[in-house]
Amino acid sequence: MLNIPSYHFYSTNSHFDYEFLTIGPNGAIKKVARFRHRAENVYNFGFGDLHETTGEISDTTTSNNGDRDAVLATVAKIIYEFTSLFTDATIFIIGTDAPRTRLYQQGINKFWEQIEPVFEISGYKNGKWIDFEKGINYDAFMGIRKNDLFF
Amino acid sequence: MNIRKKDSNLTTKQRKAIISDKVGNYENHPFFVKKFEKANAFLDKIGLPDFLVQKSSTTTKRSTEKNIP
Repeated sequence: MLNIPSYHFYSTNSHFDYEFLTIGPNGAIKKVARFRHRAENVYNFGFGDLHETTGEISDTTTSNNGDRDAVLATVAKIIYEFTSLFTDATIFIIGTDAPRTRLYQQGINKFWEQIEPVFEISGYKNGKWIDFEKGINYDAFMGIRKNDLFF
Repeated sequence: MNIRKKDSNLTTKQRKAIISDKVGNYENHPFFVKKFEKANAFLDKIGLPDFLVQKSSTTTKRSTEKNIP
């Protein structure tokens, strides 16, 4: 899945915390990602930039490192790995704000041809969950691995 | 002119995470605590998709974090 350039990513033994280092004109920026169990098999997912000096994490700043596609591809691979280990997991994603949600959507749109065979994706719009379609703006996303596709 | 050293840090071959004890535990980091509280509030308000509600009635509850070799 996703045979496109992405960053090397690292995880703990629990596979709930992930890190990867992006490199671009603005230097090296460490991204951190986390899954959190909500209830039943639903897990929230989020990621942001770690400011190593302060320890703060932010996802409202634009790092402008010119590597958006690589970052999104890395995030997609992280989600793919997590759901390969936790095969019944449903991943819930919502951005901190509308632009961030749009970023997630852009990632799904861009890699849809590779995502669609593997995941069932739903988007929340106008008060209900519907099957994801490219070209439609959603407020949040939920995805689960399709049956019998674990490798 | 800025020259990006992007190629040396990008790969198409990696399929699994590299396990490292240097990766931080962000379970209680305020960023994620706040983010997930907001996400939970959103889900509590709108509910889950129908396909998930139906599926959850037939699957067992999965345990939370555990070490996976």
